[in-house]
Amino acid sequence: MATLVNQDINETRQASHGLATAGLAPGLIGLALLGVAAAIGYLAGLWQQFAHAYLLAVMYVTSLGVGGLFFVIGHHLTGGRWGTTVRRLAEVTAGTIWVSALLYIPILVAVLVGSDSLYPWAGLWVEGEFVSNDPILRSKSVYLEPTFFALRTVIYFGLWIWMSRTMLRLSVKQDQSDPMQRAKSMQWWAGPMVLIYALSMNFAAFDWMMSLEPHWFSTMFGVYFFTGSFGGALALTLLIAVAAQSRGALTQSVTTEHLHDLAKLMFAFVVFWGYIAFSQYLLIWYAAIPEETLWYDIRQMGIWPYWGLGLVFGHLLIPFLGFMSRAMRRNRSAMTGWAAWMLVVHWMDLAYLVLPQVRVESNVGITLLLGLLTTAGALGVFAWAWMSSAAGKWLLPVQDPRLPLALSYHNH
Amino acid sequence: MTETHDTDEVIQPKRLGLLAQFAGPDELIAAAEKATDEGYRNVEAYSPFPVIGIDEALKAKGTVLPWIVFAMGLTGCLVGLGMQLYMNAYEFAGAIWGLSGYHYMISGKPGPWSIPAFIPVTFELTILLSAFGAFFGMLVLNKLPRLFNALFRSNRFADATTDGFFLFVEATDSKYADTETEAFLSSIGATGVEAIDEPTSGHALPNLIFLVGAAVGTLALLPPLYLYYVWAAPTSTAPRISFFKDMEDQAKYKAQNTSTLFEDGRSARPPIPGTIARGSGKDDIPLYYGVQQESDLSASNAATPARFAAFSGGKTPARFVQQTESDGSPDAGDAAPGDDGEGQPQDAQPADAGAEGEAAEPNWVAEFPEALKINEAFVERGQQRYNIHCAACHGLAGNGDGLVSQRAQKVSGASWTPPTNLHTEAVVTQPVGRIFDTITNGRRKMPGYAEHITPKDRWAIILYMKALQRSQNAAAGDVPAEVRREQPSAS
Repeated sequence: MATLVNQDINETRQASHGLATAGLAPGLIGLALLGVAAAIGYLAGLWQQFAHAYLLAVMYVTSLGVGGLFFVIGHHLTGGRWGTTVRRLAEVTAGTIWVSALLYIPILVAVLVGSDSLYPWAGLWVEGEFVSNDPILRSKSVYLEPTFFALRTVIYFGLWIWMSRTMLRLSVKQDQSDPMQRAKSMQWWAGPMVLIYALSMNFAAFDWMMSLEPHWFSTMFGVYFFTGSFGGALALTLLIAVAAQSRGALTQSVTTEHLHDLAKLMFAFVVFWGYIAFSQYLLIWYAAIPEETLWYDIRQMGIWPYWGLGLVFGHLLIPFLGFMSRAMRRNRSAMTGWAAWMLVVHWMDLAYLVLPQVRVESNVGITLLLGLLTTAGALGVFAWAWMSSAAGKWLLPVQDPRLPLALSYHNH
Repeated sequence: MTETHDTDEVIQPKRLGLLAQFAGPDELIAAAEKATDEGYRNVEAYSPFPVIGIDEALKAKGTVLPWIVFAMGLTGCLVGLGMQLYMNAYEFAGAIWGLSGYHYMISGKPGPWSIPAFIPVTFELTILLSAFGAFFGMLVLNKLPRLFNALFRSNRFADATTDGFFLFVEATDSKYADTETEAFLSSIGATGVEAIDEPTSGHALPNLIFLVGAAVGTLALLPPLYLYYVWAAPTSTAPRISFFKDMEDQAKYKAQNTSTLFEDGRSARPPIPGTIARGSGKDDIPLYYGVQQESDLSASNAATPARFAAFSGGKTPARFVQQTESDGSPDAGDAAPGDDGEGQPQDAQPADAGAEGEAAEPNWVAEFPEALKINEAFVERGQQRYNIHCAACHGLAGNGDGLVSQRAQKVSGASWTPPTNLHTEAVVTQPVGRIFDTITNGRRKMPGYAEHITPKDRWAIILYMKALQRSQNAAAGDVPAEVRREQPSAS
């Protein structure tokens, strides 16, 4: 155990260059699925349902990317040790944000041409004039203005791409030269980055998902999106690590100890998600002011109350009791299952934020089906971006000064 | 206790076990493995830092602490939830010793199971009991606090905090035997083995502690005794000690005091000419009281709501002076159906008052006071105020079906007195002055709104009410043609 640093290395530590080519298959299938979903939406007259399903898919892959970005920033900020072995995986995950940006472009175009199939406020702008007399929307119209919205979206993605690329670039350079200096420089950047991250993450959630219901507001919403995203990214990191190990990579570096720590953090974010979700709900429930309850009111119709209960159990209570035990968190195959579970409920969570906002009478089953199709498609593209970014890179920061400590890390 | 100092008696020291020292952490792990493989179970390891792998080498049993924490957490959760459900959700009619909870209406939320409101306390109790379970469970499992451990008597053992690595084989182990175990420990690489005995002397507290304790305890009694003595028989002529002098002596005058500062020697100042005291200056009687003239108001209790006068059956001075044109059966009969609409049986007080003939109606004004400008803006102001203050009970259209009333009817059923329907004949024919009085002072269950609505706004509300009443008896022809087309029959 303690002597692992001195063991012979018989694991794969570098991703093959062929990974980029291998990633083309899921990428193309993903694009095809997105096309199929769009065609169904267009031909069957389900355009609004498709638009919401598409936003859900884009938000899902975006959340995984920005969740990974927070892992990297948080790792440097706290001077974490155990995280060093899986840091590269998170860095590559964060490096896929540019794909999310590309996927968001169609939505941005729709907003700019004044389509209200997604954001109701976008349709209220006619030739640069805000045409609604709704006093609430009028007062928000300065903010919910298509050009300003587009500008903000570009800024969010720009900042995230810059942050993720900076971290990945410095980390890859660290593999070749000046490991100590690179480590310090990444640590230095983590400070300002976490501030930028917090602001951009909050406002992105407000803009992209909260403004689906422009009358409504919740200051908790950004944090809510963040907790789910980071939890999802942790689950994804765990799954990627396990998947890499099944292909002979990182079999020695990533030990039960590291998986245990990922599981612990994931558990913390199960609880934190519940805490944030309930905090948002309790205040609105207690005050019962129509302008605040509006959002939950929409989610008390149709299947959504059951969906919400499903989240209470699936996203909080079941995983809370499920991997509360240390023995469970150290059980590799069980935690693989729980990580997959968390990724599914994270999707359900985002679906709860987006899909009830469809404003036309429709079969919710079709909307969910479209959501699954688009999410599968976006995940395919995400997989391609991940694999092509990882191709040829070291799968762990081999020169990082903290790596020996991380390799010999042991939970007490 | 001090008798244990007696060394005349020979006491056989009790053997606690053997302490073996090892060179380093790796040797310690190896030795621990060998010892447990040999069959020893009551073995403990001591090292300056946590040695990874020692738990496995010692074949230590997993701790039961997580289960204690879990059980305590679960208890906290259930107790928290159960306590709130018992206290706030249910009432038990036949509960012994009056140990019934209350069925609280929590923020008007449905059902006794207002779960979201119960979550914070449930959560806190879960955390609290879990923390107690973890902290005290850890202490109990570690047999702490412990004042003394025989191992501390070993000079060698002091190294355990710097560079000493030890195994301690307890004498309670079934495989333990002094010589064999000592030989075994030496054979597995111990650099030294030492027998640890239970100390036969030195565990009593020194006598000095009791002496000092008794002295301190006696001295501590003196201050309270002295205070009692001073309090019981005061002899001093000095003024009492004031702890908060600036609160007892404040730089201000109390009411009805004298002052050398002013010429007239009074501390209170007369009103400055031209100023109006709060509550006075209501010279426009119709505007402020809804009656014709001052003689309609009883000077003695002008502020008493009419309903109190009615309740008291005229035993207190009536608020309104009796009218000369009273025809024996005063207007109170009109008032009853006019105000409670549905004529709830428990609202029979006005009829009683009428029967005693004490609370007759004053001269209500029938027209809006002249000081008001009756125009569209005034109606709109009335509509706005009405929707804020009145509509919750009387309904937006004045039918007495406001949300509060609907909800209350659902919850309380027949015991709820519904608010008046403003479109009944009795209300429609009421003089506006009387409606003004109702808004100002309240009527039966309806509270007075004098504190909330200014007199002019009260008149505005009455004006809007008149508009509402008019709308209920309007013909299609009353609506201007162009508006009619835009607003179909739904309105």
